[in-house]
Amino acid sequence: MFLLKQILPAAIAAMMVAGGVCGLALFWGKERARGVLAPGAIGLAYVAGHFWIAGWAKFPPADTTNWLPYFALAAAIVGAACSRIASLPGWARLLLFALLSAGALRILLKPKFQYGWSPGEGWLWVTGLTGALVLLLLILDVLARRSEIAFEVPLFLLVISAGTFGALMLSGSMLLGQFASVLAAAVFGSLLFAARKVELGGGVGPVFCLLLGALLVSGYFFASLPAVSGVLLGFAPVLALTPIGKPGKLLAFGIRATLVSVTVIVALAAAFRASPPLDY
Amino acid sequence: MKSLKLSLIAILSSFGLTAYAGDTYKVDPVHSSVIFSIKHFGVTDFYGDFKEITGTVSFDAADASKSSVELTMPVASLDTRNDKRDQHLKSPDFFNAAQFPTITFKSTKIEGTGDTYKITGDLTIHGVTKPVTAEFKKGAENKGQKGEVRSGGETRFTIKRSDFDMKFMTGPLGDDVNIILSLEGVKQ
Repeated sequence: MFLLKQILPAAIAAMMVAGGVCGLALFWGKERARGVLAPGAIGLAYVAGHFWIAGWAKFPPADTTNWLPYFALAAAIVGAACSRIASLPGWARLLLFALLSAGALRILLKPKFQYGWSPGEGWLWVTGLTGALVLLLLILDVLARRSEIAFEVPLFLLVISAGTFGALMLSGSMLLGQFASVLAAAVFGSLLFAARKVELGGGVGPVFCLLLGALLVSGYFFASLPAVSGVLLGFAPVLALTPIGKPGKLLAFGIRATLVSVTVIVALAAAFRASPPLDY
Repeated sequence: MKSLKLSLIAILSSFGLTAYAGDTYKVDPVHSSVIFSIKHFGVTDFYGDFKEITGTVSFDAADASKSSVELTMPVASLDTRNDKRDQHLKSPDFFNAAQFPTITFKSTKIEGTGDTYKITGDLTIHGVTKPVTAEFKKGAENKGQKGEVRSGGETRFTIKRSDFDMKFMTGPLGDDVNIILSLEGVKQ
């Protein structure tokens, strides 16, 4: 009950903001506007939920995890700009996302640069993690192109963000778990788009990938999230690309959904095994 | 010529004494304590402490305004007599020890005479620096087992953890944190 009281208000706020922006976009009607507002829905919803939980912190925030709302806004702008406003070639979009991710990771991991790593070691981490985020974005792009059911990609994003919420709650930091619950709620709220068959992959990808990556990185470096859980959650969408022949549309969706869900469950089990007990 | 040199040294020394008349004490971590208490579910306070504290106190009895205090406490040394709770307190939910491994205090103004001093300074917790003022009761000055000169004192004050951006579970866990800082230093 206590946990629900902690988690629900911010999650509901995020869901309402995402739903509200989606509603606005659908009311607006034009496809171009929808494409711009889709990443904005998740970005703004995350910002609302995050500030609901953590409160307003002085800018620039001392706790690097409180940069996440700003990352969300920046990624939403990149997502919106690349998907609808400017007709950038694919490689330019990836480059823009890579630069944003590298900057965000450098900010997020500032304490590790200060207290743990040499500059070389730190930049190696930032480069490697940026590469992983770009790869995740590419996977989501391919998945969005291949999916035949409107709900498929957002549903996978929901399962992965919900799994991230569980894994982070188990990693010894309820706060990071709450932030992940806000991401899941934002994705859930934006399902309204999928209901009207608005393509989510292109614009939403950068926001989701950056936020998911930042949460998993925070969980691993600042809490006790096991690396295996982080990797499985980050790359669960890969399983949805497994070649499964040509069964019926719904059966193919069922198989892909099962593969993604099983990966998330394994990630949760690993987090549970490594979980520091908070039952004091 | 020799007497002139000696006179010169005496004059220079007296100038030196005018500029720095205080004593410097190195904090003895074994005989110093940082104890905190916080309300749990509005019922009663639970207590914890930081096992390690380092720092120096420069004390000028003749002019307290020339005195200064600098203290550092590693968050990793936090102890509330429950390992699970300690681990949680060090997590991003509270102190976030991975991001902010130390708590520091640096005085900015000291005033008072005799045994009571008002110390104002910058307290940095969780990466946030806020000014705090506390009344410090000076203890006696005595010799230790090895003949070293020891002195110290104690202060009690209250801070709000939300002022330091530690807002998680405010309600079930009180916002006010009561702190008892008891320092013993060895004269250098």
